Amino acid sequence: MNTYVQAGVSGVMTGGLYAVMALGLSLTWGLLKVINLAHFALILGSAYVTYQVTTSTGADPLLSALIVVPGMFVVGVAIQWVIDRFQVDEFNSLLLSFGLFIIAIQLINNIWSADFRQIEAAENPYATRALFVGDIAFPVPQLIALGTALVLAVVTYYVLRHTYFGRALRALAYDREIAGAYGVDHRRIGMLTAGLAAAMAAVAGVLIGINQAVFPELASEWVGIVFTVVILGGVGNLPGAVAAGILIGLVYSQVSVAWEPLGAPLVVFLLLILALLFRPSGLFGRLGGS
Amino acid sequence: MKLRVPRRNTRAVVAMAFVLVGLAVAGSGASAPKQAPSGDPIVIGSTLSLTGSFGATGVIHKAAGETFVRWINANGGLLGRPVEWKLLNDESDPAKVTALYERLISQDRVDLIMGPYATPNIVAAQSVAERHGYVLPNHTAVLTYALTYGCQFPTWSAGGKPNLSVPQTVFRMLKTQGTPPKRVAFVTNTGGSTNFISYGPPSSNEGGAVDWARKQGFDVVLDLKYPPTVSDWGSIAAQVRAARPDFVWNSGLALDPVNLIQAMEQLNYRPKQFLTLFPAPGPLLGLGDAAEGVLSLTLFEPNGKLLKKMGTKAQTIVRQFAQSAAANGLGYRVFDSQATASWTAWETLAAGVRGARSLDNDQVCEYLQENGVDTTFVGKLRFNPALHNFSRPRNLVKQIQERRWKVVWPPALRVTKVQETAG
Amino acid sequence: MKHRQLAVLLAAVAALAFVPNLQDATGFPVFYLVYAYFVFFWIAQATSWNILSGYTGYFSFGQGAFYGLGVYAAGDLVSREGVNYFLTIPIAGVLGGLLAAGVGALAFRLGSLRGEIFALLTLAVTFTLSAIAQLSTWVDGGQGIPIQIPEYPAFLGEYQDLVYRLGLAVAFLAVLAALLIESSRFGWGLFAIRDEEDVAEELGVPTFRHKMLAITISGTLGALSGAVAALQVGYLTPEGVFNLTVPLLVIVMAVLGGRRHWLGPVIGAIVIYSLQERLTNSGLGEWGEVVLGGILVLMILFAPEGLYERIRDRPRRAAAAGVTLVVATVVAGLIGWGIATDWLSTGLIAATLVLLAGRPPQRTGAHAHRRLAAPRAEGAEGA
Repeated sequence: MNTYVQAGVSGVMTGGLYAVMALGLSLTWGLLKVINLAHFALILGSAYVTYQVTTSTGADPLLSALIVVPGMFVVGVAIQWVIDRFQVDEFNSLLLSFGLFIIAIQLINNIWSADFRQIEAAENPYATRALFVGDIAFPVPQLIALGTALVLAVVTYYVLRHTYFGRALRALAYDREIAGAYGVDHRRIGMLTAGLAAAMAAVAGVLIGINQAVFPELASEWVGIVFTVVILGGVGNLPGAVAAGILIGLVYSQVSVAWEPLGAPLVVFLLLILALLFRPSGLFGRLGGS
Repeated sequence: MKLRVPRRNTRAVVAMAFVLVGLAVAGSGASAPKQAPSGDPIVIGSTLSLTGSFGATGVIHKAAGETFVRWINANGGLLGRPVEWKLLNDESDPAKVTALYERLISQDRVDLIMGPYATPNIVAAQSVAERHGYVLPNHTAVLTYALTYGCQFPTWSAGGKPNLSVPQTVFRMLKTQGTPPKRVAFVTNTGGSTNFISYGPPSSNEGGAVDWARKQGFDVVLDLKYPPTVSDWGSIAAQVRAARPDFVWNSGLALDPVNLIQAMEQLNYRPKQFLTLFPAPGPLLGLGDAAEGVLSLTLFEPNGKLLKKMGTKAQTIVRQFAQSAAANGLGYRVFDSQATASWTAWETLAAGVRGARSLDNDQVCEYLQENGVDTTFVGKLRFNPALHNFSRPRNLVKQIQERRWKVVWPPALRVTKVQETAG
Repeated sequence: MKHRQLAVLLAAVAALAFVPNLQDATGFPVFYLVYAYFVFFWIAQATSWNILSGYTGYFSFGQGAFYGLGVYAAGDLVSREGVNYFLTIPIAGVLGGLLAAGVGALAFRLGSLRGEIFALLTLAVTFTLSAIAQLSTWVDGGQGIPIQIPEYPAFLGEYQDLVYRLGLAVAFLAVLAALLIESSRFGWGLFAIRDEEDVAEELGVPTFRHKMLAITISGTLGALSGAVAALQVGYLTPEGVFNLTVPLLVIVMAVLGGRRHWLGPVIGAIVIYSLQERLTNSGLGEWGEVVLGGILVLMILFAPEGLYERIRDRPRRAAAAGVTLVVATVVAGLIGWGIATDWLSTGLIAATLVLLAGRPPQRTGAHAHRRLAAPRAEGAEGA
């Protein structure tokens, strides 16, 4: 029994990590109609910068966020500027960002080589730590990730619901022309949103950096599960993404114990198919439950 | 005392000396230790996975190959000619491998080929090599049964049945310990070679390490399989902890053991002993204390004493590899199992050409089949056709002690004894 | 029009089928046949995708499922069950069709099927198949399937001739299907679905049946091509077969070639494969992929409607591109940059750049893709 509980806790925590990765993707997809595959490259790039900063300076790895978050914000703004300038539609945004993804991964490869890069244990106070409640361990890196996911999702939800920026953004998502007629500047709001999404990628990257060794191919491994989190949560629904991440992590871990880790992906993807068929708006609705 | 040499014999001695000098001169002409190679280069073509899922290890083989080519050109080349390596990136995709080898052979008309990295790619390249009758030395094929071509020469000498020889070695070593483990947990990556070693070839009842452990009377308390990409290591670690093994056998690849150990560490759990098969050696060392005592297999480790015994050639190679590895951006620059297998494959090809005195692939193949090859790091290799050209198993066990990999088994080759408890 | 296109297609295929026979006379390297095979492979896959996604507007991320099913059907039946390889090709086709029909029956029955749901559903099916291949020791179980070279009658020539001709046959079948559909009433119905499904329904297009037929044809072709690909891959692993390369590249090829005409995916497959191949062997080394990604970005930005429409709408620019193709190929050949396929690739890349040059077209809402855009009505009630 204890095994199920411990595995469940691990699963939920790990789900938090996938949720952080999903937030920015969900945001631009739901609100800007941009399916940004490059998001995964931004996460990985941030993880590499975290590795580099920590290894070169010996500073606490979390402090790297001070560099990557503003840095990625600028990158996100730049990508959105191009998408806006050329009026790239939703589908072509996927292809455009696929091109950017290829470029970014290869650049990472050229800078850091295809070899594994990992913050040494001596410089990483987080990787192997956990908090204990009785026998049950709450691993620190995943705990931070889950907490971050919750905070980011709740704050974004609040901003979308209760600020002018949020209302303008949602209006844009529903109908750009009408929103424009009411004086909403879609360019600035779009770039700001894309910048925020990229900043979320940066946060995810820092959390990956303290949690595991990185290598260029890693970004491709995330695509399937993170898209699953976004869709199950409801595109554009950030609290939904967190809930979906937790749910997937929970299912994954319980199947892993009850049956076999090898069987877990099959069950998760079958569930995804069922969810797509029966709850096509995601388990928790789209756009923050609007 | 005066040594009197009879006259008759003096003549004989002089004649003998002439012959010897003549032979030496002729010999030096053939192998010319320091004479610069001349003429058209001999082109050796190959692909490696420089990007994609095999990329991290592919780069090690690039560094090893570059070291070899530089070495051989600095030492007279091959048949007196310089060697040139035409290397293409197969992006870890077997479909690309076949296309690129076809191009290297039929279009670029390279003289010889070298195998790519990792079993799927090697098997893919094998079909092209076989169609064109090219010799295919390869460094990293473990799925012995899939290598059916007579002129492929594997240098990862795990024996013809690594699914049996690897557990045999490991459990024999374990039994020599003061308190040998009783409860064994298996955690297996179902991808290719690790799956093979845990469970044996499909559609046969040979079995692998898991069966072996059972037959040897060990209590197999856990037998988990995981996919090549794992989303949650925590749930695996939780099951290992709950099974309370005193020995964890992780048939894992690359980062698997790093992720698993970290997840177990988060649960505040360290098994008494932990073995992993094909790890990325650097990141394991990067775990620091948590990875102390971890066991793995190897063909060769350049441990101080061992390396010293091997002489200056081996030392120079190990040093030059480290430089090449640095130039290729590798973090871990030790000439270990992967580099050894690579180097040995190149040596095999060179020995075949020298032995056959020809670039004719048929003759090179025939020479290697008959004579095997004397290698710098793993001794004499004989290619046994009954075992898909694998030679007798050479399974060394290494252990992380004081943050370095050290050979701990077999007794004849070890630099230190195995530590019985982790950390 | 239709008959002329058919005649040209048949003549081209007949001529291409004869190419391997020239090898003895001209002594060209076998590699050219391998190169051509890959072009055929991508033409078949991109066309298969386009018949479903280009024609109906329902974008699929699931090409990998059809392809992978075909690869594994052939691989398993040959290696595990000892079935004659040539029999496994039609079996793979039937299985691919069945899988596609199954996916279609589930998806197209949904009342409010949005494009993104369909796209993700097809992706989920691919991942599910991959997970099954990992789990099932009959399909694979993780150790991979080495493909034995099948026995075949001697008159089919060398092994590579065989692969070449099989690849050509499947590509021909796919292009023929696309051409015939496009000029038929069925094709007109599909285009109506793409442009405005509700209106199509009003006009009496049996939308469900049309979509089912389109996805089934697409799945069959994808799996047929996969069964042939098994020969070329040589060694199957679940990760190698069910990766994201096939589903993403077919989309890139079809979209950049042009998804409103049967020639679009053909052009896209030739250009993108040549580009990739050229970059692998360019000596650019680690910068090759950066260039590839850069060209993709440029193509999306400057020719989002695809190269085919560029050629059709701008005959003078197309003529200039044609001249560039010839000149660049000849120049590359004269200076001896690489080998013949490289010369041609160089020419193709130069011609593509000529086509792309100039101001981006003024986009109007009409070109925006409907299937993936959220329906307005839904937004209106939320706002």
